[in-house]
Amino acid sequence: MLRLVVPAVLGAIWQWASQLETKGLFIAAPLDVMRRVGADYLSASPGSFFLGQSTFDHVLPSLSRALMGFALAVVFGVMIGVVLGLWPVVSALFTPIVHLGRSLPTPALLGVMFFLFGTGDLPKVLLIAFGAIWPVLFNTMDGTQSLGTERGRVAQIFRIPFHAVLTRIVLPGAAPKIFVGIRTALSLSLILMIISELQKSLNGLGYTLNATQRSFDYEGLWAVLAVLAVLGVALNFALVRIERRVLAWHLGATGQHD
Amino acid sequence: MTVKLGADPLNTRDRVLLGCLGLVGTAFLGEVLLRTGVVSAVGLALPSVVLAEAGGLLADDGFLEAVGFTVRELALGLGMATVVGTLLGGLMGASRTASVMFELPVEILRPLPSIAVGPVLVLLLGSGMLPNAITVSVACLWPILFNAMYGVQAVDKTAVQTAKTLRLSPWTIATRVKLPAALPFVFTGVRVSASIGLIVAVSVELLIGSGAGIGGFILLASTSGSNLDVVYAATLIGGILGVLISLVLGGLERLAFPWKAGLAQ
Repeated sequence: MLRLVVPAVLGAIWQWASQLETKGLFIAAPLDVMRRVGADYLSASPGSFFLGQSTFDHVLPSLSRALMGFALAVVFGVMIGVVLGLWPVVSALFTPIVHLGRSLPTPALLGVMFFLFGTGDLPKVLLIAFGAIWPVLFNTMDGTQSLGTERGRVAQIFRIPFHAVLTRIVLPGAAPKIFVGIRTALSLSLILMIISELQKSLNGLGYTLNATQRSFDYEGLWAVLAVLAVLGVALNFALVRIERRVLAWHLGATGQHD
Repeated sequence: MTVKLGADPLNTRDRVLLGCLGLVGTAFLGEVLLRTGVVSAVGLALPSVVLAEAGGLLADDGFLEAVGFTVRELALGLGMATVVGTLLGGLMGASRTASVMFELPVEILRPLPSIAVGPVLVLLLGSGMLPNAITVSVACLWPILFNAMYGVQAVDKTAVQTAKTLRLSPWTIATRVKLPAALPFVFTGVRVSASIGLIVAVSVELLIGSGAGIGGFILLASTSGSNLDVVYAATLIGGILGVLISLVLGGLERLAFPWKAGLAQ
């Protein structure tokens, strides 16, 4: 019961605010928003998996670009991060660049991406990947560097081959930190997903966010927010499940509960 | 190929030298590749041109005004997030009831891409700095909130029990024992948030498109034709600004909480 008190209060405030004389015009009532989400993004037909037209037109294209960019960021971030982290000289050479990249306001490069890669999905995916790679790269590098000498010595003494060192010692050892970076990368991917659809775009949630606002369709705008919240919760949930499975040994060993 | 895990760390002087070498070398390599035509594409800019452009921007009053706007926006957003995050996170860390009550809304609102609330805030508050700063604070809130929560939970039990034995009131225990112990964690949250906050600040400026801030400056530069050098230069300066902010915050952290250097992560 206690769990529902705050959501109920927030819902009541939302309802109250939507009835206000002037500001209320911009705030759609919670029930109207839910009805709108149901009408646009869901359907009664099992043939389309109970998903509505807007889901196919906007959510899925957005989601697939975000996931592609995110996947590229994770794969290349881990690969480059391990390479930079293994050799102190290499990491010293590239540390300032990684710090700079991590602080770079990537969304600003949207226009540049269109110049470089045309107008299709590619510039959007690459913008997401370029923005989301830095936390993964940085944390992988950090995790690899903090493995400690003991495990390295053991590997040397037993002449464990390089690829086994990589897959059995380095990656699992750095995994807890890598996942910290992956979590940040996921939330950055969603932000960049929205930003990447602001220009030269005909579909997607970022596009809808802009379009509904321009056509004074405030109910539609709030519906996009609701869909984004659902999307965020779902992706986060999936990531937490994967993390728990991959890091089960770590959580057990350190007695963490999160 | 042998790998020496955890090889001897380099000393600071070597690391600084190598870091500079890396920066200069990368820029030089880019310059050579572009000048010799090994790599060529519309939309790439010569590092030397970008640097010259960046130098020009630093003398441009309009750009400096934009940087000032973004920095103030970030400071305001970070400030709001720190107050709300510390209070709510501290409450959730101190009280089981509070943490159960706020768990659901936090879990639903946290993954929401923060910049999406920007357009709604502009509708409600009009354009200006406030809606941008609130959007930034939404993004910055979560690391601060969670760090405050963990910080309060990680307070030394003996210290709390000692305070109880001394018959200090729950309020005094909260403000004099728990809060100071949690502050280093809060600061870590602030430091982590600041780097995300700058990216969100520029993003929301691009999204809202009122022309203010670094994002607004870049938006104007990228729509007014093929002025890509300026876009690269402004982005680079934004990145350097971010590095400076995190260096300053890192320095402050070491100054203010030297005793917790090992604890805060």
